[in-house]
Amino acid sequence: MKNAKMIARLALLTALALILGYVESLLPIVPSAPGIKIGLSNLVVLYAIWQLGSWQAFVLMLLKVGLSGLLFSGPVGALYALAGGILSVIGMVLLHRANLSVVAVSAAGGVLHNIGQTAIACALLSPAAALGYLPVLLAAGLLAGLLLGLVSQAAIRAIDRYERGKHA
Amino acid sequence: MDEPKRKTIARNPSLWLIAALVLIAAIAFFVRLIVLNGASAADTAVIRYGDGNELRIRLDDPQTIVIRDGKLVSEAIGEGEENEIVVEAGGIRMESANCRGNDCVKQGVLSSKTVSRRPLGSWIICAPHRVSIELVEGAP
Repeated sequence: MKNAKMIARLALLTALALILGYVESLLPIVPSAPGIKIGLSNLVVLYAIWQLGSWQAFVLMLLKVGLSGLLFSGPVGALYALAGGILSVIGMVLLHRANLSVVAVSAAGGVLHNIGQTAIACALLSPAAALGYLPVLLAAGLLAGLLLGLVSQAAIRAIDRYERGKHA
Repeated sequence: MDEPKRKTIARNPSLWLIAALVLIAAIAFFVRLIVLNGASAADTAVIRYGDGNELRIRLDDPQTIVIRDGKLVSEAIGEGEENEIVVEAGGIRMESANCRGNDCVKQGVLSSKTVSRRPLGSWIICAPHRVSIELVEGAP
């Protein structure tokens, strides 16, 4: 029963992450700068790290990357997202275990995601191009991570309050 | 009264992590600005495509280059993995590409004048087709 509940929650969160990713793809921030985005679906991953657990968050990221690769971004886009996703989720899980705040964990996640993407660009394209672009991606990842962290913090607190109210 | 609060902030690892990330990003950005300012004399483009192929062209030599499935071809027909590159008015741009998202086309004109204000600096990149254009100094 507990397993079924977890699977249902994961499925719901995966659907939510996919929808957020799709909505974001309709609103490019800087069209001339590839790889720069807010990463709205990371809100769902952060929630999963805090409320479900490390493995669940990792599975959620894999499902989201795989499905959005099939539906929207294609194999190359999925490869970039996978490298960024693996690095950022592992980093965020470790930092969460070190009791850091949601905002700090999210900021580090944004930076790590873009470092993962840069590693793939180094392998597939050119290390010079990828590393030359890395400063832009670092700044963008940091800003997006901070923003999402603040939103996640508010959301997690509100959900906590709601859950406590329900059980009171 | 303020002392304990100040100590708490100083010992807050979350704040230290954010500060370290901001510092790293700022240093990286500064280094990038210095490197890009040095690229303002560049007049040659290096186009890389296929399995390690490289084509060097001067930006004062107007022409159209079409790459399909990792090979140079004479004209664009919109099949396979195709990129059409145009050199004109001292700049180079990705005129069209049949990749997903068309990020490379949106990256605009690359020239010695635009290099310092482009997010990708001295590069145009089509990641799905593994085609790149780099602005460099020196005659081809």
